[in-house]
Amino acid sequence: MSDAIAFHDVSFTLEDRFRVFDGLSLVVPAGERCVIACASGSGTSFFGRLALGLFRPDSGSISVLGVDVSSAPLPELMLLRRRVGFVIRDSRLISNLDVEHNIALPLNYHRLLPAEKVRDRVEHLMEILEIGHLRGARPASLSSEERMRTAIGRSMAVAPEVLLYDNPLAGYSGDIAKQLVVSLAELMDWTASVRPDGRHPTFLCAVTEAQGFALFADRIGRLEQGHVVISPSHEAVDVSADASMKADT
Amino acid sequence: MSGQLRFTLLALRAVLDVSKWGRGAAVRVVLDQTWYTGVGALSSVSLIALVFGFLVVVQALPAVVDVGAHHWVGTILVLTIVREFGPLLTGMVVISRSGTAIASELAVTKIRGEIEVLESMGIDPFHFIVVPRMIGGAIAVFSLVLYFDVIALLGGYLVASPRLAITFEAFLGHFIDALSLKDISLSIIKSVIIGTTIPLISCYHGLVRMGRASYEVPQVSRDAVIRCMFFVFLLSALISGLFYFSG
Repeated sequence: MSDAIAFHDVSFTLEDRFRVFDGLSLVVPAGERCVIACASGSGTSFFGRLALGLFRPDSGSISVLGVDVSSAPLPELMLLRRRVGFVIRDSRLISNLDVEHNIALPLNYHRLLPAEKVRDRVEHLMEILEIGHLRGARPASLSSEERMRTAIGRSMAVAPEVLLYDNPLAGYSGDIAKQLVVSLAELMDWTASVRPDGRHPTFLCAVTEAQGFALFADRIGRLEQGHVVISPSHEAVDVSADASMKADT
Repeated sequence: MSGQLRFTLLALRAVLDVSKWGRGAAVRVVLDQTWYTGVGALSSVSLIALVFGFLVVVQALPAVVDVGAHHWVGTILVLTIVREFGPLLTGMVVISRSGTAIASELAVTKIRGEIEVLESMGIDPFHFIVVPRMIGGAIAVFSLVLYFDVIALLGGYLVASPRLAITFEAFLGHFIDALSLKDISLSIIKSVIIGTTIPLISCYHGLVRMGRASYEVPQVSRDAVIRCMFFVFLLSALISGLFYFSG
C-alpha cells in the first residue's frame, strides 16, 4: 500500500514563538484511517493546514498524494487541494451561501460535474447527513452540529482521495459525536462507491479526545512534545489525550 | 502603496485568465455584485442626478438666455454631466455604498477564516472574490452612469422647459447635437475604470490590510473609502486629460 500522507522530520513554529512540531514524522498509507490525539492547544489545527500547504514547515518535508507540499508552487498546491477534503473544528462555512451551495461549492467552482449531477450528489450527501431540510438555510441560522454536518458534506463533495479533519467532534456530546462518526463512516463508503478506483479515502484527523473514533480508526496515535507516537493497533492505546502511549512507531 | 500595486497586478493577471471567469460559483458572485452595486444604488443615483441636472441648468440658464444661445444648454450638459460629473458622482455613490460594504464584508470573512477555507478547497480568492466583484462593479457603474445621464437630463429639462418654452424633443435635440463619439467613449471608459477600481481597492483593504481583530473592520472600511475617492478623482482627471489634451 503506497503512502498517501507522509510527514518526515517536520518542525514548525508558529509566528516565530510557538514550537508546534519538532521533528514530527508520520506516515499514513492510502486508505488508512489515522487519528492523532493531541493535548488542547498543542497543534491539532496544523496537521491539516501543513498537509494542504496553507502553512510551510520550518524544516522537513511533507508529501500528500505524491506532491511535496513543503516546496510545491501554489498552482500545484491548488490542484492537489481539489483532491482533498478538509474540515476545521468550527466548520467555517461560507456565510453568504446556504447549506446546499456550501456543499456544492467545490464541485461548482471546479466544474467537476455537470449541474444536474452536482444536484444529485449534493442531495445524496444531505440525505446521509440528515440535513436535507436545511438546504436553503444560511450558516448563521444553523446549530453547531448542523454546521459541522454541512462542513463534512462539503469535504466529501469532490469524493476526495484524502480527508484531513481538525477536531470535528470537539464540543459535542457522546450521542451527537457517535452519530457524526456513523455518518462519516457511511460517507466514506459512499466515496469509495463513486470513485473510479473504488478506494476509500485516506483519513487523517487530529483530535483532543480520540474516544469517539475508537471503533472508526485503524490507528490512533498521540502527539507528545511535538512528536507523534503511534501504535499499529489502537487496542494497545489509551485513546485519551491525557493518557500516555504504550507503543512507539 | 506597493502592496496595493502588487494586489492590482495579481488581480489583472486573474482578470486576463478568462478561462476561469465562467466558474459557476463565481458567476453567482458577479450577479450578486451587479445587483447590489447597480440596482441597490438606483434611488441614491436618481436623487443626486435629478438635483445635479437641475442645478447645472439653473446656473447656466441666465448666461445662456442673456446671449440668446439656447442650444448651449445641450453643450453645457454634455460637458458637465456626460464627460465629468456623471461618472464621478456615480463613483462617489458606489464608494459610499459598495466600497464600504465590500471592504467590511471581506474583512469579516477573513476574521472568520473563510478565505483559508476557500484556499483549502483549491479555490483562488482572486478568481472567486476579487475578479467577480470587479466585473460586477464595472457592469453596475457603467449602467448607473447611463442612468445618471438620463435622469440628470430630465432634471435639467424641468428647469429649462418653463424658462425657454422648449419641448423635450428640442431639448434632447440640443443635447444630442452637442454629444460626440469622443464624449461617449470617455464616459464608457471612465465608468468601466471607476467600476473596477472601487471593488479592487476595497478588496485589497478587506483581504490584505485587515488584520485579525474585529476593531480593524471599521478602520479598513474607512481607509478603503479614502483611497477609493483619491483614485477615482485622480483617474477621472487623468482620463479627461488624456482625451482632451492629446487632441
